[in-house]
Amino acid sequence: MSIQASNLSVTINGKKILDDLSFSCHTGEITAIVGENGAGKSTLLNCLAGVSEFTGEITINNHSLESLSLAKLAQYRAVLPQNSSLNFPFSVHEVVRLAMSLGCLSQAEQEQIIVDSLALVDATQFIDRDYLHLSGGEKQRVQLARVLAQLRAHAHQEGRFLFLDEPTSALDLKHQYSTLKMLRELCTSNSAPGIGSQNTRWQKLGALVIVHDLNLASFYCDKILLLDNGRLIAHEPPEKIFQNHIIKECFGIDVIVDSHPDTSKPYLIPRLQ
Amino acid sequence: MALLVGAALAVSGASLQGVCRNPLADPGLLGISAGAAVGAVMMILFANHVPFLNAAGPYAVSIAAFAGAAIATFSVYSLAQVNGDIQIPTFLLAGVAINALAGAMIGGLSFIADDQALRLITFWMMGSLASATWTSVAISAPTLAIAMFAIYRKRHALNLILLGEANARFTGINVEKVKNQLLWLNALAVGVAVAFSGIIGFIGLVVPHILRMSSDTNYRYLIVNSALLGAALLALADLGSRMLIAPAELPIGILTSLIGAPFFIGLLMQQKRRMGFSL
Repeated sequence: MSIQASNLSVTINGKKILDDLSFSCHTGEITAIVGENGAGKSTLLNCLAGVSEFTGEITINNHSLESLSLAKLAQYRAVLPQNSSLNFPFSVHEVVRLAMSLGCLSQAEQEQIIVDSLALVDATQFIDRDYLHLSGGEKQRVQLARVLAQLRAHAHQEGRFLFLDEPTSALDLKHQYSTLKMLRELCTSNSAPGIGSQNTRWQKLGALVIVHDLNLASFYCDKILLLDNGRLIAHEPPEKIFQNHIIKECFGIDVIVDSHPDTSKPYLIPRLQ
Repeated sequence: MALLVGAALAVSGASLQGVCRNPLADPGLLGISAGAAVGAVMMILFANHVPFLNAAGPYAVSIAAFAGAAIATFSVYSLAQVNGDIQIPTFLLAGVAINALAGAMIGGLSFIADDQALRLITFWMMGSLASATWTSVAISAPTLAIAMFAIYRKRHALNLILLGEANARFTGINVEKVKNQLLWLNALAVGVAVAFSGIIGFIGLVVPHILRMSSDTNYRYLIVNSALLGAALLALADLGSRMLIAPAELPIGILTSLIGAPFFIGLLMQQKRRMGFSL
């Protein structure tokens, strides 16, 4: 099960935001989308999510994006936008419940999914709080729980994908790592963490995640999709991308690359002069 | 009649607040009620000269009010949209503009109206349930009930729109279609309510807000509760308007505005404080 983009381009007001991208992502792997500010990361995610105009072709599980109804699309993929504003007082419980459409699941199943999803993002303790009273990072975790609940509600569905636009931008260090670790497990493990339902085998997800912390991407993602000025520079495992000349070309800084003592995954630190 | 109109106006306000994602939306403030009044007044004036329309009576007035409400609804909504987003200042200004335009049209119509029609027009402007009969209840009840039920069926979509239109779309809601349907239903509910009661302001604003303060933001409950509280509140106001200056009857629209306007000002100040900037 996969997402494929071929010759994907986006032009807004005569400016090429995305320039002829072709790549594919599969369930069972987690891909980090990285690049400078304005490189086209969010635009790419919006195209895949089906809310941006583009030329070229995108298919999800061999269905072209245009041929899928919004309702069907909602079973195949869940999307976390960069910011979600909510001006009305809702409890955290309600926010997560909104991910699930009416009448598809029993009340008990819904409750289970809400509790499980909040547990995955370490937000169980907020369940009865007013969403508006949460901190920025706590809100972000609750929104992520909502997005996870949407896919959980279609547990039988094969080929489900997560599109997350900076899910860690407001999180503290601990939750940045625990969130990515959890996402990795949802994508790669047959028995997903904290998922209570014993009766269904967990169908692995695929995930595309925009992150700015390259080390976080390296430690937890299978591949890195590197964008520069709307062009696809590389779509490779972190080892191939963490090289001084590639990082210098895209981000304009010199880096030192080393490997993590625990996992031997590469990490980088910028040079300071 | 007060129960019906109160419920319809409150439900309309609640759903408009969802469509616009702003707790300040109200059919009166946005000019929808005024639009309906223009339609109704026009029909009253012209029906006297066209026998066929005269025979159609209250139906014709309702339909004209619905048309007026629909025109006002979609004008305000398209005026307030900037790049597909509802901007709050433009939104309220659009309401002001439509209200002003409707006011001018009603002024013009009263100028050419004869004495009897003039009395009727004044009645529209102030809102009154004095002339309501069981016939008007029989005509309006089915329409209003259907409109309110149809709005209730959109409760899940309304909740999701509050989370952001993009989020609603990601969850499988056809946001444009739902919003269009809701705007039409609003025009219908407000049009019919105005046709029989004139302009009764602030019910649509106050009722959902009181409910939200008691933490019922969720549209699963908000629509039904709005209908109940709106009905109760307007019945109470109706009672008040009949008793305050008895044996005369105070137009109920004056009473609701007297209570509702300070409430609205309080709401504005509260929102200003919370957001840290003026709307």
